[in-house]
Amino acid sequence: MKVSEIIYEIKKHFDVLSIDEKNEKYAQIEINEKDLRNVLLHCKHNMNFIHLSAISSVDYIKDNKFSLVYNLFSYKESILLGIKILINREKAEIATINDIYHPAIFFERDIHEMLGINFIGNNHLEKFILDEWDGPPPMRKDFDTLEYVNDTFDWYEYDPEWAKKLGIKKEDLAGEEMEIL
Amino acid sequence: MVILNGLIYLLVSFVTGLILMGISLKVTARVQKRIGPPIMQPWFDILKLFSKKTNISHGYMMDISVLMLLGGTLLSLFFLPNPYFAHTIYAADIIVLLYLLLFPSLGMAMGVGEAANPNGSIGISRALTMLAGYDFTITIVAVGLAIAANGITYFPAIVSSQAGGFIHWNILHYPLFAIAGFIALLGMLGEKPFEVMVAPHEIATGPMTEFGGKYLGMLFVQHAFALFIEVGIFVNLFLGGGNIYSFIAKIIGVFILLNFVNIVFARFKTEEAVAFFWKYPIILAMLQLIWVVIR
Amino acid sequence: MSNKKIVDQKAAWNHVYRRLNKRSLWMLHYCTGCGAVELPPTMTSRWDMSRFGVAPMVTPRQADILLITGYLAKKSLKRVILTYEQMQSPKWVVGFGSCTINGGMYWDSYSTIKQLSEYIPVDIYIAGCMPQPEAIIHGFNVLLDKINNGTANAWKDYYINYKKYRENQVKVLGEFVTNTDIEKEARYYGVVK
Repeated sequence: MKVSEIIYEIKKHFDVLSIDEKNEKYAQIEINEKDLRNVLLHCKHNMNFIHLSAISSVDYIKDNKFSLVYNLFSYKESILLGIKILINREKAEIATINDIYHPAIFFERDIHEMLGINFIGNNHLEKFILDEWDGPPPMRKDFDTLEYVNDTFDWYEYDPEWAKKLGIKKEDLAGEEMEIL
Repeated sequence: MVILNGLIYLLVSFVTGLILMGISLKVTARVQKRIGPPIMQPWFDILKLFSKKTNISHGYMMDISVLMLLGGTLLSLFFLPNPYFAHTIYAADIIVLLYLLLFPSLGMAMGVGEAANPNGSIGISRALTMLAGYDFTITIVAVGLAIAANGITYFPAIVSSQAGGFIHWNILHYPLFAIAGFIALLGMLGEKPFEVMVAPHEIATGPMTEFGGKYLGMLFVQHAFALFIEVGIFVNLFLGGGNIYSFIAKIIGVFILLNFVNIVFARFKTEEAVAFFWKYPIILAMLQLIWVVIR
Repeated sequence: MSNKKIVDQKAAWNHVYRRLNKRSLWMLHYCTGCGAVELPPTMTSRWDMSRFGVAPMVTPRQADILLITGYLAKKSLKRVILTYEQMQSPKWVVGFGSCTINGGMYWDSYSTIKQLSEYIPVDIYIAGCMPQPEAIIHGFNVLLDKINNGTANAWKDYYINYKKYRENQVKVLGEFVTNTDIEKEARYYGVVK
């Protein structure tokens, strides 16, 4: 089956808001948040999308929303399908899907640590990568990393006479470095 | 006079062992088309290890284990027939010498058990498992050669039965024993393909993981003596001993051959190594043994 | 008169120790960051490092040099500190690449450290991103000269200024527990009264 046929199948039963066909084997569709569980169950049991590749997420701060894309893969036709939903940024919560696809536990743990989205029903939301971190979720767009770095760490003082102190002569360097001396 | 002779013998065997370790580094480097470390590099390693300011020990068993290692090796040094020490203990025979060579492994097992590092325990259990392979082979070879030399296991008798030139050497009369003995020698020294007990990048140097500083220096010294003894056993059994110059020359020659095998091969797993010993070298040794007994 | 003779003997022994120490150095093969990809070419046939006596070794109990190759995340920093305290003195630390000097390519990242010498004492830095194998061998030769002169004593600095290092470590990592008794070792080496 081709990608357009699969999207046609889904459109027969559910409400698809937008379609983005990137090439023959990969497409991304956008649906409503309340239809998410039904679409995933339909894809898994009726259309052979048994493998969850990844869950990815982007912070749209101007629209005040988070987007979550569930990437499903089918071994029979080797087609990758991305199912995208938009959720509210102020109160970021959604039900977990780890009873449909078990590996979703790890992806949701990662997204919870980096972006702060709460997945209701997932009991394994401990810290994963950032062991000694106690600030806000770092991948949000309102977290200024440069300001954090300037507050926490010190820098070496720049010494304009560094070349003279090391005894480097003009003949040893080549090209633009000669301007420094 | 006896004491002076003994000290000269200790000095000669230690220096030969160090030169052998340096030669193995240099030969490996030249085969891989690079300049290796200088030949006296193991000497600098030992001196650096002895000059470390702290030594971390995990208890009394670990201190005693180093003494047992070195003591067992030094004791078996004086049971080996050689042209340097005129008062070799003649009342003992080759079976006693092969038995005394088990003491270093057991001593290290005690020390590793005290240190309680899982890498060390895995390494030492592999080493003691591989003993079930090469020890049988070398014992069959030694007993077969003793039967061939008038039926007593008296080591100098085996050596003197090969006197009188190149034609009388055992390697020409009993070649299958020589092949089995060579493969067993690879296992005794821990050269590839039987290197799984050290296995540097898998279990972090195996049983030597928690030994550092002066303890590791003692292990290097013991390795130098052990090289001399074990290659010396092979030279005595098959190549006829020799006078004070040809003994060292033969040891260096056999060791360079061992090194060529070491450079080319990969490692066997433990089960594969024991299975290999029970298939090919022991069958060759048995065939040769039947031929000796019938004659 | 007799006091002077004892001091001269000790200095002579130290001179001999240093000359022998520099002929055989073992580096810990702990690849902390992306700079470790330049170590295999340095160790193999083309730019042979073993002719200087430098060989790779796999456990911290037996190694002399700790090589920090590249950036250090906060998570690795804790493990590196625990490894450094398990090594036996005398020991040397070499900082590899620009990330140990002033942050390097990851200077504006929230989770890597910027200056290595605030947390453990460093003897020598090798600049580059990544340094070429010729630069690595030149760096090791400079370290060998420093050991020969007796000026590579940064490991003593750890005991003398331990309060400052511990303060910096706790500020970044929070309270954590080490199993080594630093005060007892400092008194054993005679560095601190």
